[in-house]
Amino acid sequence: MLKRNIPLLAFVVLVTACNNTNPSVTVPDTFETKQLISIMQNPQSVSKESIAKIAGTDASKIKVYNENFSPDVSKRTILFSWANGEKKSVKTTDGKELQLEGYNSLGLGFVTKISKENFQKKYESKTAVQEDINRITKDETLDADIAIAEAKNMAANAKTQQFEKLENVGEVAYWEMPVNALHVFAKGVSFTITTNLTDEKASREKAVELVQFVFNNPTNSSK
Amino acid sequence: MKTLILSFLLLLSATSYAKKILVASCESGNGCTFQVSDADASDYDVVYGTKEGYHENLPENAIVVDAKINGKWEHYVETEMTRSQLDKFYGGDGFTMIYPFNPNFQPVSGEWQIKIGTVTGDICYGQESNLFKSVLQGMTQSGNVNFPNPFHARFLMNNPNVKWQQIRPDLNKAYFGNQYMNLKFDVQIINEKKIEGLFTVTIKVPTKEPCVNKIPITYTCVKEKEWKDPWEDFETANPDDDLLPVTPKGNKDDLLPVNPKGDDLLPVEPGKEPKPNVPRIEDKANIPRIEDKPKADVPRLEN
Repeated sequence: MLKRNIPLLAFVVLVTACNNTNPSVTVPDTFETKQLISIMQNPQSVSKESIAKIAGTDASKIKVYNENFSPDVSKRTILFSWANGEKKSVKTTDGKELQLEGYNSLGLGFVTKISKENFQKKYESKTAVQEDINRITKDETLDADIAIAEAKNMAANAKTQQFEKLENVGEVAYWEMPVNALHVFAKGVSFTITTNLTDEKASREKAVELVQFVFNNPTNSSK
Repeated sequence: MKTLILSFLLLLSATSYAKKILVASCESGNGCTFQVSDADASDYDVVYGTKEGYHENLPENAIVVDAKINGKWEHYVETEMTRSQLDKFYGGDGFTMIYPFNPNFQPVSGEWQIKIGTVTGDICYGQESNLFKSVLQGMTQSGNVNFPNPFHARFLMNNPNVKWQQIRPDLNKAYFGNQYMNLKFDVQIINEKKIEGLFTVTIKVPTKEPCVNKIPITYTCVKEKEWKDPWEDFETANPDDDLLPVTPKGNKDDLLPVNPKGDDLLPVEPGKEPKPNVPRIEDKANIPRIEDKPKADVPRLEN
């Protein structure tokens, strides 16, 4: 009886092992922060073919959007998006029912100089969000209405936010749900890979692929 | 006439605070950017022709959306989605922040030239010279002005009591006045180096027909301010700084609007320190603080 079930057990173990294997990407010795900065400064220089390959779409569909409005570079992001063929609809105030194209995206941003210890604390400490809220409300450069709205938003997010430590991605990495983003620490810098895809598993895989791309992307000297 | 003008100017010194609205500008493939409205919620009823009190009574989570759909700006109110969900609906990454300005329509910082055009309309009540053009010239000052960054339409009439409404992300409207005299100012950001405005001045005197004058005004950037790329300081920054340095290329940190005493527009004053004019949390007595535990509507993580 036991003998007959061994192949079946082996198959189950193998399948389970495969499912639990997170994709991995180590930090190459050659990786330098300036590679990351180069992408952030000039996202148009990034090969659309490479992004399309990760996204699983055609390079001609890739649209690049640079949200570089904040003078604080740690708040800047770039977005590679593509139409996914879905149709969405909205109803306007004057009663029109309008259709618009659905988009998926992969992104990169929130590049910050940080120590490994503080990076880990940010995603593991239970008080980190409350500390952020306190910092925002005390920030005199922020308009009062904005500070309050941001604090409320952070508190609301904190109720659903979950972080999962991923092994073998960068030096340390955390997967954030439900927004589906990958926070990575490597060589004294943290950055975030964002995803907007329908499937969470695919989001993880593509996020890790994008990390690999960032680590291996040659520096673009021209700005 | 002098009394009218005086009462009109006195009106500019009144101040009020009211409910603000969270506004999103969205475009498929780009996601959304968010800002807190400058105009009061009640002003939105006037702009969009909704019932009085409609915007004032929107639920706290409501987001007023301006979305570019099929090349045209459309307007609606979102009450089902969070900021993050709305951003993702338009293809964004789901990470959002509230800007103090609309970042997608941001004229460049630097020196701008003002040109007041020809007045068209009625000659009001027998005035020989056109009164309004001289009033406007006094308010706007001729020559060049220096707009700080980030730009806000209120810099065009640098007076905190002028009510501004954002009709579309690229279109702003200011108005002030009373039943006898009112002034409307429609401003469109054509591109990052050109802004066009139209003043409409209306005077109403009992028993007489209203007297209406229109005055076009154009702002053109003649010298863009040079900025140091903040990324240049990234590698030398210390780890764990809360914020990386904000480093505009000019000599002064002029991120906040200058608030000169006499002029309505901002003169180019290279030697002067700008005065910040941004409301602080401390300025608002009724604003709940996170650390003030008894305030019921302040979000606490433990709730």
